[in-house]
Amino acid sequence: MKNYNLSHLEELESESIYVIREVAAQFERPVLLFSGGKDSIVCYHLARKAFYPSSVPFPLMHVDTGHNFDELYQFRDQLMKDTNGRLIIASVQNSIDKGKVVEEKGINASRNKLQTTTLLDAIEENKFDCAMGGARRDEEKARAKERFFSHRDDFGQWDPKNQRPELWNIFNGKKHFGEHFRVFPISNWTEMDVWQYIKKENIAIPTLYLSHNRDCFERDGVIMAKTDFVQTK
Amino acid sequence: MQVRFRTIGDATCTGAVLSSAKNIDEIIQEVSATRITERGGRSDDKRSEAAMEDRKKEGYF
Repeated sequence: MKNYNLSHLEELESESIYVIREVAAQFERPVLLFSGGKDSIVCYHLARKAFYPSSVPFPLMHVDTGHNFDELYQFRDQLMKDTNGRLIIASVQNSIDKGKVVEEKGINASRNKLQTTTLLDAIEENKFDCAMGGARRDEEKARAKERFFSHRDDFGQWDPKNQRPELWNIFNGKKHFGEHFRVFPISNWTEMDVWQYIKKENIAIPTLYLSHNRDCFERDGVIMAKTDFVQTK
Repeated sequence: MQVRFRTIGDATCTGAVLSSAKNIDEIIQEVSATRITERGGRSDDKRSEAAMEDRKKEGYF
């Protein structure tokens, strides 16, 4: 008999594809959150593989602060064109214009936190019952304790102490009306796995990830790019 | 400056890293040798010790 051994990348891929298919099976209106970063690009690649030769049975959604790099917008639009992806854009600028959130002020102002309101509104408007994303456990400690299937209440809030057990590959997507799930198919991947997979599958990435010359300045030990959205002292 | 991004978000909260990695192989080499974490350059996570958890509780991704 021939041995059936998966490499570590194949094992991760297979786990993620299983989770993505599980989402398509358990939820009525799933969506894949897409930022244009490497993790969401890999998630989208996995979703396309999971349903090939059919098309991906759910749309993608970009919660767009309007403050992204130009390269990122170009890359996103080109990818959608090349792969026939359905992209929904949830704009933070719209939330600001509607008066739902107030823009931060000062030199460290960022729209990062404002994205939450835009995201939750878009989930409610589109009646999504599951939002998949490319968060990974090795990124950050709050993400490290996340489940694959993470439950959110009526208000979209996360209660880390009230989540479902996940035994082996059994995922429980039961919820009440109005609640939703966040699902993280590449939870178990590391940054290194993502890069090795991008290489193995020859996945296109925005040029921002490669070394280039850029006008930057340093603030609190962080090298920031000079853009119109960042105030310098 | 010769830089690249290890994590891409909004331009207001994503920090770059000094790097000369011009292709995926060089990125893999760089990542395996680095002593800095991937999100070390994210100022959104630096706002407090539990910045991400607080945002997540409110409904952030």
